[in-house]
Amino acid sequence: MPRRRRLRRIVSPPGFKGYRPYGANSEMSGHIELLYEEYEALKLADYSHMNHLEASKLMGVSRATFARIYESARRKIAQALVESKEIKTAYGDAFLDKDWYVCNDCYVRFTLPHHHRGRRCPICKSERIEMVTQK
Amino acid sequence: MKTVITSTGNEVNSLFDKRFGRAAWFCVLDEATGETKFYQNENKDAQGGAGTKTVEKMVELGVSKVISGDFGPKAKDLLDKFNIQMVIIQDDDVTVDDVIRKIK
Amino acid sequence: MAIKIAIASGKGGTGKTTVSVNLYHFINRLVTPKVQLVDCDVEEPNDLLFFKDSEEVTKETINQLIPRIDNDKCTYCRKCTEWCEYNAIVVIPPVEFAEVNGSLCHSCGACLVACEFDAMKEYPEPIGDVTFYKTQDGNGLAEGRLKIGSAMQTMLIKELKKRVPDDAEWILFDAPPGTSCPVVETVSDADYIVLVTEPTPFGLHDLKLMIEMLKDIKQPFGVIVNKAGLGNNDVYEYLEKENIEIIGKIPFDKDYASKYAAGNLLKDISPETEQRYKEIIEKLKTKL
Repeated sequence: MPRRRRLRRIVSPPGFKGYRPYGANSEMSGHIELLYEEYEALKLADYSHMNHLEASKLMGVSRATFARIYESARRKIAQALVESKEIKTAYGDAFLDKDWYVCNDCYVRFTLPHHHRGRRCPICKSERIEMVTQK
Repeated sequence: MKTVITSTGNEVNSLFDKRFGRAAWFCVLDEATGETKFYQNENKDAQGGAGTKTVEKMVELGVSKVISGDFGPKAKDLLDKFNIQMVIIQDDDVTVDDVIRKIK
Repeated sequence: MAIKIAIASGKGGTGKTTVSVNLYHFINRLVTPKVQLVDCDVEEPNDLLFFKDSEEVTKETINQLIPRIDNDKCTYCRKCTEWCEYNAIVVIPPVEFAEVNGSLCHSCGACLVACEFDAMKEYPEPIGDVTFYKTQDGNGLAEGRLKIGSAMQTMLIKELKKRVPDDAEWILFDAPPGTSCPVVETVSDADYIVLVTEPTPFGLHDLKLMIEMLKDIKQPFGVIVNKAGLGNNDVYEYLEKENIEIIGKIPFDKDYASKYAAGNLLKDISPETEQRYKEIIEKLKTKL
């Protein structure tokens, strides 16, 4: 049986939907999809200056998996710059999957269907919850 | 609002069952009144498709939240479709009553 | 009628592929060029790696038929879900939901019979490929390759076996490891089964499971002890006690293992190896 992918923790999703090169016809050259976890890996390593071990712990994956995600992120960005491609951010497979949230007080994971109003933990009612994305 | 807590037995002192489709019992909790009712899982030993069958049951019971240890990908897709909230608790050795008290 | 031999083992990595590929090679050289190799390990077919100059002849996509439900015709009566042995159909009347779960469906067709409202219609879904290759000598290699994520191994093996031409005199089936359904499917209509084991505790443990299975389905078999010299003597003691014939012993040889890893199994074969397979083939002939 195919192995299931582990949840990768995203502290905060990117605050943009994508980047577009100017002075080039980017519609012609297409786009790359930067996954949320790739954005997160790049942010932790190159913006927050964490080492891979720290960053991997934060994302809840092994150091090797972190390295792989990070490598993939860098290659995609490089490809976009060199080939004048647009960068679009994507959940990856996550648009099929419901988003998971984690409670930072009681550590349960949960989904938030539309009719559940208020962003609170369904168990301890804490508001200290954050998104976990799956890919 | 009805919540299901997966259970290894048919009373609130039973241990919480971390399996969803193959849980032994389902404890249906009315969060407003605190009333509980137990249903045996007929698909516990099914060869396959226990998770999706269990979702059928959840929809029929009119449940809006399910608390279990994990959800398989097929069950998850269906629960999503019917807007049923999933909650994953990974603690060992907790009883159904412990979970109920946590919610309150 | 072709002679059908299945090469199987309980444990993985005992040498099914090594034995299969060598038998193919030596039967071609010593007995008849009308020998066909069939790689039934559809999850990880690897016989092809040892035929570097092979050429693809035909490739066919194998489909399974999966029903879909026409929501305009469906009355949500749930009869199909009661008939479905595999729990592959979800019907939830209060919300008018009905869906077939393709990954659980075994294409048995029961739901089509069950439905009184003509709401079920089958559509093909690919489960893998069956490919035929021409090799330098012999009839060639047939291979099944399961689509990643599909769980229809047994069905693909069945389809693969159906497509093997019957003009061959000998057909060799390289089975998947284990003792589960795909293995049963591979060995079920063979004339003789060659079990490859290794003299280690794991090899013996899984060999016993395999022998139990073959006794259950009443198929004749003999054992090749591969990597002889490694491990201990338990396997020999067990076989003697159970009165099971050893049809060959292949000594452990590190250089041979490196040749396997480089895909050069059939290059510069040593006279000893040749002699061993000659003897095995002679023994096999007496079994048929």
